[in-house]
Amino acid sequence: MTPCQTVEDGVRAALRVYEHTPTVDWKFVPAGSGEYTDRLILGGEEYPLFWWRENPQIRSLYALAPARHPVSMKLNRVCEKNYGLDCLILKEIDIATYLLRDEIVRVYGFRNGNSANFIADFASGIVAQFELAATLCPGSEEQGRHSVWGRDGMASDRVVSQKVAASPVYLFTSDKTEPTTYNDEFIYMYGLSKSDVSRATMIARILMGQIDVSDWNERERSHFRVLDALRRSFAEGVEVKIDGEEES
Amino acid sequence: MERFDKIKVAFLSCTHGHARGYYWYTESDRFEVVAASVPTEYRDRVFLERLSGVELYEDDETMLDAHPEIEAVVMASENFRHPAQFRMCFERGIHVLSMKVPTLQLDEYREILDLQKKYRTKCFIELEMRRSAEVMRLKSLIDEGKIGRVQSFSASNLSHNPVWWLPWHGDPLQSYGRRTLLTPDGKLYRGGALTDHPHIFDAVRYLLSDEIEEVYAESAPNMRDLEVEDFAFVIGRMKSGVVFSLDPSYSRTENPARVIGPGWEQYPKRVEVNMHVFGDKGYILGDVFGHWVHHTGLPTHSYTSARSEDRGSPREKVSEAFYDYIRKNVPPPVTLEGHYKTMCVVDACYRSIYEHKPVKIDASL
Repeated sequence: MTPCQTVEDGVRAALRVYEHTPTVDWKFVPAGSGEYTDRLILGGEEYPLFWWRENPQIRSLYALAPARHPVSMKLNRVCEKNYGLDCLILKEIDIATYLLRDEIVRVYGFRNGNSANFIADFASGIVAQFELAATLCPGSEEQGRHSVWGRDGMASDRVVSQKVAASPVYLFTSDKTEPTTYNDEFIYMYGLSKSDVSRATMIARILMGQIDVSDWNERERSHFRVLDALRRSFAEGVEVKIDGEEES
Repeated sequence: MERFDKIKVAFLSCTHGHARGYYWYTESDRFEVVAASVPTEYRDRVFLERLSGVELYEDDETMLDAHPEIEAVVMASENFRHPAQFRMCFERGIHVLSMKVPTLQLDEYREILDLQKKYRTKCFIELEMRRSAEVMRLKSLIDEGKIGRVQSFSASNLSHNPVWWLPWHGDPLQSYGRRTLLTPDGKLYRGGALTDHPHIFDAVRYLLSDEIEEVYAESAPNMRDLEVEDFAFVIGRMKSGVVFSLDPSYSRTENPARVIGPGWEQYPKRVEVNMHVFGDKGYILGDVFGHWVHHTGLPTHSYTSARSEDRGSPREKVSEAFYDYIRKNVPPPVTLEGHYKTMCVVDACYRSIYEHKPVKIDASL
């Protein structure tokens, strides 16, 4: 098997496995400087690519959350500096609204440098606490934990006592003390990083008609409104409703 | 080998099982356990078999009257009893090791401070986290600048809700001291997670050598059908500008049990305390209850995570400091005045939840 080198390789590999021939042209456009996320051009239309939703643990949380009847969620994440705090905030806002199937209506937060903490109220009354930072050395794997708590149980992407993200394979060699880790996940996309597997899987599923992206530009605009509200809250020390009204 | 002038000590109103953390005083070089007062309804819940041979009393006053030799007490009672017990002890010149918060009511707290000054007694607030090696490591790394300038701190102190084996934890009057609404909608009262988990509010001040300037807090709908809050989410800013996020919630679910013990856990860990410190040159991630063993066992064979054996628990170190404070006048790590500042923060969090607004901290006396 030839290892995949690019996201596009991964998409083509998945399409071969499922014997699907796309009926529209597509192009993957990685996020450029100042952009919040990668884009997918599909039949001439451009869409944001919420690729993190295809992370296998996020997918599982999405499936598990409703039966727990969530009342709160906690998102504790730290990523590499280069990714940028605003991009991380947008990603985590998307994950929270996606998992909870709910909309953020109010935010209040504090920011200091590349770190921010905020509390978000959702339309249903769910309250989520976000603890985010973009302070890790470039190239570091993102760390943290997503937990959903409900009246009928909980779900989390970290096992009890786990501090850092686990890898399926660890290589110890005689020349250094730290192991090299591998996060291979899908044999047909062997060679791609975990996040690129998520990107390629999402694009393949979109092309196969399993994921509807028709409202994703609106979703992104909705996330931008939350981000704008947060910026106001950070700057002015007020709680901000997402429709722009200041509460305190 | 140092010979100790033993302190004659009593347990005052054992109504929570945490008091057993001090039952080893019966074998201590520094303390002599004289008596314990334990209300009848709690006698089968607080592991008194470990106090075998110690004289038990139904109420505090009878015990103190019968044993004028008592020099100090371990206060192990419901929160609402504390102000009267402080008065009773201080008036008799008895020193106090307070396992829980002296009071959630700031006016009562100031009265306790005044009494302490008047009667020149000594009070030690447990806050055993300050005696944890893991916390000490975090503080060293921060103070040595290993992560550069600190930008943000977050800490969670998450646990099961003890209300099933200690019903007073679910009674707002007994845990908070008053029936005060959590939010204007009138569904819940103060006295839950925020009342029970003050450690991380002390830790942020201690670890950053800084004071809290402002907090904003919210609760969430309860997971359980209780009158007090399961959740408290707190964010804020220190005077230095460092931002923080604290979570003392009862978000680990449990099987109701009359006495705490194996099989209580639904979520495998009864309690966990994690801290994250984000600096401009690094990141520290710490588990304050650092070492765990994971097992299945009786009675339910559920998967359980238990703290592994301590090499000298933080409570032993608390006791050494309590002894040194009384006998050698060595200042304690947490004074009543210092802890009052932490309780001002907790009070501000409750006000923020109620008012849905940020609250500035005023800890002036």
